[in-house]
Amino acid sequence: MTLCLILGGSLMINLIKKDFILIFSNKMKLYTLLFAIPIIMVLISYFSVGLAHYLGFIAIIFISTSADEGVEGKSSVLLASLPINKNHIVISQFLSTYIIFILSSIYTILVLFILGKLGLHSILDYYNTDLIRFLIGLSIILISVNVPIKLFSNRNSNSSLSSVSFINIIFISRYFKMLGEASEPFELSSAGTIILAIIVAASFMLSIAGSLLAYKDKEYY
Amino acid sequence: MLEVNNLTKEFFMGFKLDNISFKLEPGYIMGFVGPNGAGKSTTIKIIMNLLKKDSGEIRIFGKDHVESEIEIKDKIGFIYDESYFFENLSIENMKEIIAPFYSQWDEEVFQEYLKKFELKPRYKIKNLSKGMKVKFALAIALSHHAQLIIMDEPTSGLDPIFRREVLNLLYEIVHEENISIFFSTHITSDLERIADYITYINNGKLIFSKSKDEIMDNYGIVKGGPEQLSNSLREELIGLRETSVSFEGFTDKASEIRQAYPDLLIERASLDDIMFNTRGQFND
Repeated sequence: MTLCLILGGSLMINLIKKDFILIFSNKMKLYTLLFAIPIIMVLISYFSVGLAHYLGFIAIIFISTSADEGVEGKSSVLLASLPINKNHIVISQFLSTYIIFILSSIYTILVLFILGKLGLHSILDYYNTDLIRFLIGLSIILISVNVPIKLFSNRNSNSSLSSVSFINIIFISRYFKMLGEASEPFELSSAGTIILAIIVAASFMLSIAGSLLAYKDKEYY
Repeated sequence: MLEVNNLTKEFFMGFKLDNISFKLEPGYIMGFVGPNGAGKSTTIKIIMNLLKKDSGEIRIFGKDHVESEIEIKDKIGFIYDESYFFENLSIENMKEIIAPFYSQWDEEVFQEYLKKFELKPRYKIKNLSKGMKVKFALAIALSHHAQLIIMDEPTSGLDPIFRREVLNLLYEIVHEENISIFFSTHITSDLERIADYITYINNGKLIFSKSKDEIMDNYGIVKGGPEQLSNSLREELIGLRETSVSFEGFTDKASEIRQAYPDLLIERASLDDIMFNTRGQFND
């Protein structure tokens, strides 16, 4: 909230509110996501494929909800015609994506918890701090790639590029041996932590700074 | 209110908006005409800062359109040639998104327009007809006490009855609320009905920007018998058509010809005649 007030107060809140109005207006998609995710999780728990899918689900949630009707395509012309500072549009897009990500994470954890209580294979047992650190880092990288794509592309290329981001996450996860048996504990070495921290910080800053700079000169043909 | 001076923008594919200048005073309607691809939408996008100009100056309410962009857009209502609304939203949801950005949003006025246009707040944008979308865009544009309304081909694709309704509404707004309207179209009959000024561009170049009365006085269709067609008159006429019993030609010096040749019949030229006969004047 403080950040919102600093960065543009009510205008910023209105822009974030806009993203949530868009998400909740598409009820069919919302219900599909809310019900499809637990079903997929039940199926996955039988195969014991590991915690990487947790991240995959989060990616599905925020890609599906925010990429479809965000600041892209024709509707970006509408926003550009309203009395809104372009920096606010960019920052609000990052903020709303992070808020969606946090809400999606909470929802997914809740589902995993309920699955565990129901006696189904609980992948919550395989949580450790290394894994959480890794997942958060990876998510920030994903958001840093995804938001600029949303801001600067049209709807079709946005969807396909988002899909590419998602597939990349699966491959990265496989590289880190997260798609093996869930019983394998995930470990992140000190060197790995430092490399991850550098990549995360760089992608975070480059993404925001680059988007702010480029969005000022964006043209709507 | 709106002043465009020496506006230039060149595109990679070769099209160039070349040195466009015009001025719209408060309380008037300016029609912005030209054939498809003339540069009308490009000019409007530059005015709205959706495209960057290469050179020139645009002042709205006396302020630079880029430096004072937010302040200016707060007082502009816009309607584009296609719907830029979020199609999955209802009218009410869309209004919830747009209204908070305007400092002078008037909910009462908006509700009045919804009633007047028979639009229900629960209607989804994607289910609205083209005419209803224009009505909704008008309701939004008129509900934040805009002083300037910019419209890009708002009447294209509308049936004649609805077009007439929209034009009547615009006429009322200008005369009752003293706002200005900048209105691009290629349907010239719309402009003959309501415009005070007409700016005509073709192939990215300004052909003229004048009051409608001045245009109607200057341009005309000259008709007469073959014996009246002197060499000097022939030089003044554009698109001359001759038969064995008569001739007909277009002129941009109607009042001068009227004085010099009082026996000739000079009919008022329509905007269509003017656009057709002047279309080649500035082509490369």
